[in-house]
Amino acid sequence: MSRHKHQMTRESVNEPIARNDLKTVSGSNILGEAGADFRMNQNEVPESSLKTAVRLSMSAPSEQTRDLFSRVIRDAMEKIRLDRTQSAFSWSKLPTIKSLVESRREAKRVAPNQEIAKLETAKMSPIESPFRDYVATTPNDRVIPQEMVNEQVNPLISGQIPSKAGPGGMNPRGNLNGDPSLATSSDAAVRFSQIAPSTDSTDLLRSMQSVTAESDRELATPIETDIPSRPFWFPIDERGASERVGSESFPLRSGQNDLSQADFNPPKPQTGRVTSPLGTSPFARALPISSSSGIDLTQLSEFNNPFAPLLGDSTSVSGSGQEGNKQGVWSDDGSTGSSNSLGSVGVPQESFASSDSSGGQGSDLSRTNELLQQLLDEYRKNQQSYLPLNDRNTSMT
Amino acid sequence: MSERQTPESTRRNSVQCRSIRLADGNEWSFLSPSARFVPRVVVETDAVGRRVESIALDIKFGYPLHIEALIAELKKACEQGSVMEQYEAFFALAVSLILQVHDIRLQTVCELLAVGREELAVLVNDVLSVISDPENLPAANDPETSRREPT
Repeated sequence: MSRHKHQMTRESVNEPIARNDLKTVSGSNILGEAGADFRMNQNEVPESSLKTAVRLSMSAPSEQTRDLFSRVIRDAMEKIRLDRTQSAFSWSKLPTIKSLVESRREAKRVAPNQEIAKLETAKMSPIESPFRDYVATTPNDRVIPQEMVNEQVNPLISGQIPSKAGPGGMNPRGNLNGDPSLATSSDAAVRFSQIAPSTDSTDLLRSMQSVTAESDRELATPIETDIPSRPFWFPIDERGASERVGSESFPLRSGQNDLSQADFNPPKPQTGRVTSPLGTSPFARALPISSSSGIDLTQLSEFNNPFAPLLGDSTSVSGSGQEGNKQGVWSDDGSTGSSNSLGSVGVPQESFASSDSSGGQGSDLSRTNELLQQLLDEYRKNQQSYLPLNDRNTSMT
Repeated sequence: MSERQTPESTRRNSVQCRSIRLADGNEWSFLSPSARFVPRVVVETDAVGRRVESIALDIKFGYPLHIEALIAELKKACEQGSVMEQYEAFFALAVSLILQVHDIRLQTVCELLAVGREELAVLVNDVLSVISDPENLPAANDPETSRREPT
């Protein structure tokens, strides 16, 4: 039967109806639907009067209608019950806003492994990268996972696992660029590379490479992607020193790089540390370890060097470079100052400090570069070593 | 000349609802469950150990309390009551759901709900699906998308 039949038979519906019989609150509702409970008293009809009105207003159902209604309501209620038991999406089980907020909070507390998995698929900035926890870090908020130390580093230190280092002293898989010539002689770097053969660490390093490349692209600097694995080695070699100083090490740290970084970062107050764009790389904190610039890694305190517990011995000792290293290597912002190289050639600290007190970072580095060039020139002229006696690097004549 | 009541002219704003065709042939809206703030008194102690009462809000999904009571009444009637009790409980719930959305008289709602025997099953299923099946709920406050064709 068509519904229009009822429309025709219900003429009373079209009768004039006085509005606002129920005292309702109209107008704006700043709480929206969620605020309906606060105004429900205006819309609410008492249950007793509602039933009375229904009883009075609606004609009593016939026997057939009653039977039909009984059957229909029973089936409908049974269907609801089945829906609620079979479907997890019943209205009473819908996620509330509170549960959504809690689940969101829970999602933020994901395990580090899940973060690693997410990083491989998602684009993350190096600052947000969870790998900062796996590279050398400051100990305040980041630590090397203990399981990683137990499973991979400790056996290496104790000699339980034979070294897989290649002829150059560097495991080819540990070399981030696969270039054996870039292998360092630092034990710390070798050990760090020996972590790499495990599956997780290989993925870790691969992801770190991608993150480094990403950060380099974002910085839009001419930094090459192999810089992080390149040791900041500054040998006092007359034949190669000028070439290294002039073409490799310092131009990457001064001048254009600093200017390009200034385009991305607001100027920071001078802290006396020479910062570098490499500081934004997740490898930046690992650089001092991979560097063989004469740092005595054991001299660094455990507070400053999270790898210190992993380094039982040190292979390169430099007396003159320690002070400079302590000043600029393990900075909180991850910057690795050029004091590594300064220390290894024995630049007096006052000259370095005076350059800090001058203008910007670019001028500091330029000034430092000039001082180094002067030192090298004088060294060539006089064949006089500015290095302290008994320094191992002084053997390079 | 008196004004004829239509769903559009009597509909309240900011109410999440679903439409069902009733006896006059128009689609009238029934209140749907939604997220709601429920005030709650919280007793705490301050820094010096004094009892401090404050009002907190719980968030739940469902109906206002008086409609929840009608739903419970219908469940109870279906489990233990007679057919007339079920009948009254169902129509009391349906009337209340309409009154939450439309600004009309109670008697008018009862007349709108007085469908024939042939359409009684459709009406019962539609009303119960509104209160129990939010899976197909349309977007809130969108009467055009909230319309549902009778089955």
